[in-house]
Amino acid sequence: MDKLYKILQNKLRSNEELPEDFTWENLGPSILNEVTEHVESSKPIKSNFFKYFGHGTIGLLALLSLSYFLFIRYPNVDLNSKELDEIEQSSIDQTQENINSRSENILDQKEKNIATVFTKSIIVESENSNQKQLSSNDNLRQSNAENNSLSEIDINNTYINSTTDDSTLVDRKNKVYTDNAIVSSENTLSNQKKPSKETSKKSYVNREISSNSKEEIIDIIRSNYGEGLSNINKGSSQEVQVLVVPKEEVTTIERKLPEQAIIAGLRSDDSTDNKLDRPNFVNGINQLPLPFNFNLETNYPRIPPRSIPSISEISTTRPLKQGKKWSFDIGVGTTYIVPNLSGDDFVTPARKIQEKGLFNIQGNFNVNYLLDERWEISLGISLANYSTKFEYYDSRDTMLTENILTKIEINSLTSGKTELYEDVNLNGLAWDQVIHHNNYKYLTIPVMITRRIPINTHINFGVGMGIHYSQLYGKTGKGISLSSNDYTTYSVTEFINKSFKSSSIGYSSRVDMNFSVNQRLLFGLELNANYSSIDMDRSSEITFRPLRIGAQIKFKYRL
Amino acid sequence: MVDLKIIEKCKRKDELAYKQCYNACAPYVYSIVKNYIYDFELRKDAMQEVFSQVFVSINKFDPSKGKFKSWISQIAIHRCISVLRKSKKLNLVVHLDTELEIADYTDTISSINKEDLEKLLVNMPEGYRTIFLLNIVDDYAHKEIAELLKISVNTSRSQLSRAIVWIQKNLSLEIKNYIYG
Repeated sequence: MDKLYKILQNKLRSNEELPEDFTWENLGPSILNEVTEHVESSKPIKSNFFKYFGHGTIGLLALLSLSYFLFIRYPNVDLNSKELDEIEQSSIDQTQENINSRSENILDQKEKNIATVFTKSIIVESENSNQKQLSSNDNLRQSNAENNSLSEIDINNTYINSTTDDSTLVDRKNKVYTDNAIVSSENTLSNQKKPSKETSKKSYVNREISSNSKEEIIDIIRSNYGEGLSNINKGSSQEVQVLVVPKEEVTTIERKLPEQAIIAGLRSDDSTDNKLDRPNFVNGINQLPLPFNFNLETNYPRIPPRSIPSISEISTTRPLKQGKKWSFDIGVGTTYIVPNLSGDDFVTPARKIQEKGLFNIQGNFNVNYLLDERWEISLGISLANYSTKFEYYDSRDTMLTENILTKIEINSLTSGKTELYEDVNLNGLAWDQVIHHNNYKYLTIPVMITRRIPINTHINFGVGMGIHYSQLYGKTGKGISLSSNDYTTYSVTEFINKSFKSSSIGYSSRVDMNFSVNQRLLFGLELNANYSSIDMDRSSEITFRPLRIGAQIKFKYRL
Repeated sequence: MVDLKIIEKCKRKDELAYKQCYNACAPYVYSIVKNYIYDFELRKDAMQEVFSQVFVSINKFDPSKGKFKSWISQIAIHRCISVLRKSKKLNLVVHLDTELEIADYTDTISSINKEDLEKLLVNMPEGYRTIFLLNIVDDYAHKEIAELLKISVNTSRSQLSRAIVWIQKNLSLEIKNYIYG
């Protein structure tokens, strides 16, 4: 053979004269272009960079999320249930106290603000029809001329005249006529010549209006402020509080006292939802640009404000028990692998297409830690068998003896032809259909974080994701030739003529549903999936990216 | 074949050195490409791919591990197989049939001159020729051929057997034609 090799080497591997099209002048530029493009792109390095960068980023995010939940959001996760309940109760109490104190502060502050500008509060009985006039038209004109906000109540003419300038709220003039009840601001009336800047801008009237003047007031208010007031019970006594302050101050008060402002209906941007929670809220009042506070006794159905639920109420709607932080679960189920081979010419196309996944078994054990009633982290170990099946045709040499035509003799005289047949041994090639089974045994260690979604006290769902380390510790194959019934056992590595990296890091996810038998024991169904990428050669051109999925029944025990 | 200084310059991406290297190696590379590929345009593609691959990976060439000629011939053969595969001209699937038993063909081939041998290879089926060249001419083992062509070792052996039988048969026909006119 060496002799033949040398003969052929000499004959076929001697330098050839290059055709004209193959000179450097013709091929050189395209070769240089290709070299330049290859160097610039550095494709393998680039793809590896992005691959590792992507994996690293996802892993880092998962680690940060885990750290956040472990060390920042839940710094004292090892407290027992009693302490947690106490903390929770005290936290709610503290919140309530804060709200109460804040509300009181707000009220105090408002009262204080009002008190500073409060001039007078007069309650006028409806029968008293001979009240003296506390203000005059001159006073009114004067104060209007000064372009200050004021509130004027004329006794004799029985009206309340409230005007504001542009700088206060709106240029709207509101008149409220009553038969008898007249209220006037002291500052705007008695201190006519020198109305102080402070008091001229602010006045407060608190009055009770008799039933016979109420309808007129309501009509006027309705005509000015909307139809929402039509539901006011006209038959009952009403108390109207009117606070007139400059717009700037209203804004300040609103800012300082948001809750009070909402209750008073002063905000124009109130949403419909807020209205429902507000007692005595009158539709249309909220559209008022004026900072009036109307406390009207109405027949409105009073919707009680939302109350903070008590611990007992919370616990009845919470299916996951606080305090049982640690749990473990054991699961057994079935698995299926979706082989995903990539890379050029990994196997022949026929083999590639015909590889199919088969169902096999898996077993899981997980230790879980409940961060709160919603989040759970788990560390586990899983043993799983994944099977695939190849169907392909394999060639084999055959030795056959056959009677074939070996010689033809032609008689030149007679022009006759004689054919000679002989039994000869023939070296043939046979193609056999082979069914080949591969068995991949995986040891997987997943770290996952799961979002628990309680449905009721007995059932909860979970959606989890994380990363895993997997070790491929078994990869055997067995083939059977259908024509010869000849079993052949060999490893997957040998079968595909490539070397696996036996370990990889990939992604895991799962969806499960748990049903609690009692406070400690649960059973559930789980669907899980693992995905990883395994390089099968040094240049990372061929990769094995199996998607491993499984379904299992599991039992969970809370410690 | 090529001076080491030129190779060093090629490693530094000197375009003049590329040209010198090409002019020195192209005749030998062409002799390889010519045997594997008979389509003229594909030959050009193969030559281009061979030399671009040589220049891209020339930093990997280590003179202490082997000759530049061997290294470049390896690249040339792999590129030729790649080009054949891309063009789908490499078809190794054969059906079950029978051929003559292999006899010692060394003397027969030795007696043929280069031109006749090349003519013989031109008419040989692509699959036979590739394995014949790889095994007999370029001294690849069947296992290496199996890995290169993604076939089984048995298939490689069978194809070689069939290639040799094919040569014997065609040589016999030539002889018969000579005898019987």
